[in-house]
Amino acid sequence: MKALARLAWRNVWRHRRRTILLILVVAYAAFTIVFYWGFIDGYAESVLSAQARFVGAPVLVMTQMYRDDPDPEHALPDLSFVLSLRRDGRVRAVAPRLEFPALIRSAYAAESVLARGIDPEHEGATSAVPARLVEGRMLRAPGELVLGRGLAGRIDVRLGERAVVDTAGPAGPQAAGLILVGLVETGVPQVDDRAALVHLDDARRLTGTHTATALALDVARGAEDAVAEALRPLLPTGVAAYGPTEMLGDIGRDLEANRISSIPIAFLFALVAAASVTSTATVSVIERTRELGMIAALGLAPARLARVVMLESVITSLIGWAVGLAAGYATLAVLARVNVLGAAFHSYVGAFEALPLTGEIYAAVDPIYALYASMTVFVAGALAALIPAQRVRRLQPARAMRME
Amino acid sequence: MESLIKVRGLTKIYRTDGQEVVALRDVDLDIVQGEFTALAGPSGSGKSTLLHLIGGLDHPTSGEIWLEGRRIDRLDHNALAQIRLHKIGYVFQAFNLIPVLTALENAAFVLELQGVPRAAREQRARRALADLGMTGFEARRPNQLSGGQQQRVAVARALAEEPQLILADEPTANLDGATGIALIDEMRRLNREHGVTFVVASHDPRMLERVNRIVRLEDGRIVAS
Repeated sequence: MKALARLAWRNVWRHRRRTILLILVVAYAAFTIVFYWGFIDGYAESVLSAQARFVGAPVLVMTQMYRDDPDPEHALPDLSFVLSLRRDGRVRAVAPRLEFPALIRSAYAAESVLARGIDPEHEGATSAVPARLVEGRMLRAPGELVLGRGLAGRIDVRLGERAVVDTAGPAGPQAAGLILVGLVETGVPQVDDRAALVHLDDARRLTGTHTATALALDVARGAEDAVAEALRPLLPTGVAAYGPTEMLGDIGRDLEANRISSIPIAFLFALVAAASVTSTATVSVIERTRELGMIAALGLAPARLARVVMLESVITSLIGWAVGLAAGYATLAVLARVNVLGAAFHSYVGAFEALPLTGEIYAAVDPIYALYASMTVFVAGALAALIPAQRVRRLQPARAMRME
Repeated sequence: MESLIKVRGLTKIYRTDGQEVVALRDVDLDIVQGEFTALAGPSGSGKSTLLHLIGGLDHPTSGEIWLEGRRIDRLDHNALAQIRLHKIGYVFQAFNLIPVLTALENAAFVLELQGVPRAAREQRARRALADLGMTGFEARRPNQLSGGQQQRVAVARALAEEPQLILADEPTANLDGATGIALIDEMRRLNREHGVTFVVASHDPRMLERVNRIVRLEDGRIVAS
């Protein structure tokens, strides 16, 4: 076996240029698979993360009752655990929110909304909405109001004008006149057409609730679901933390469906790679027919000779696989930290009008991609090993040595 | 004396593109241990075909081939490979050596396939190379050797196996006069000193002058022996 391994190893390096080409083909296949899935998953995570930052937050802490029935009656019983959350190394910011159903009306029209009471000091760290202010300014004090641009247009209220927020809290019907100080526009209809941001103090006064319906947490990108899961045991009874996958189940399911539809494309990559490697390996065998015939004539059984050829393909495929994986994961590591993809997409006019993105697309890095790439390379390597080896197995020494 | 090689009624017909070419017709031949036999004849007379059939490189269309009293013409590829590996040494006209191995590795290659331990096979390969005047060339690859030197390494490889039979197909065809004669003399010496049986397909007059038996073929038949 040692003789055969040595023969295979030296044959691999006999035609350096061809071997390097073959390695590059395999490496390209492995790289493409790793990059492809890193991009697909990263894009999905980025969309989910962006949606979470517009509609909710990276992680939301609320009572299980409020999640089932979003009524201020089911608000958090107290906020004494906020301090321990702020001290948790995985939590970068905490912002209390008090959401309540309300009727918002101007002198001309009225609409029902889910008003959100926010703490202006902390909200910006957990939500992307404040950053999408297109007119005026964000809330600074009680008595002020920020609306989605679509909503403001429909009820026909302008900056500096007063709108009335009506709600029915535990203390009975309550109303407050608030001055419109800012308009936001995000591209997310749920925000642009329905967002009504009021000061947390106003929300508490209107609802008669002295705590919050939820705590919005900012955590590291990509770790949202894991942090939510990890925080649950630390929260008071009846209170839970939710990541984007649970909060945005429908969008998550759509993205998963898109991911599944990508599988045929990945399969085509694998097929092209396999065909390239197989054809190169087969040509290498055809070119050496006389030489292989001579070695067979010396007494190397067809099966052992086929093993030499298989070993050559295995060596080449393994090197290509390692190079491709290294290059693929190195690229993903950079794209997971630096917003190159987002900038590239941004240059494509209209991309972010159609997609509710924060302008940031990061690649995902998951060890499972190595398995996907390995499966591709395995298919390519197996074909590249078996097809030429089958040819060698049928080799007749006398006929092979007569071939030009 | 019992024949080392016994051939009876051997016929080989090649079929290519719907046409039949009769390479050997009803050939009978006996070669005893220690003979130095040349298969002579013009191109296309069937010399190489007979050599290949005797060496188990091909199957006959009909007839029998016996080696050391064992019938080999019906054996499968693997069994024939075993016989080639353990009983027969080969020297071919060209493409004799494995390009990626050194002269020493080439000379020891068959021994390695046979499972001979490293020290023993290197000793035997070095001795065979030395016998053929190739001391000092052990580390060279085939492309660093002349045609004559490559043929000597090929003979050394066959010799290192210590086989009972060496088959050589036009071994001097690509060599100049002096190199060709030197190689023939070397083979003759090995035949005399080691008792190795040689069967050489050749139409080189220098070779035919130096062998002790000539089997002449024409149109696939033995016309003189």
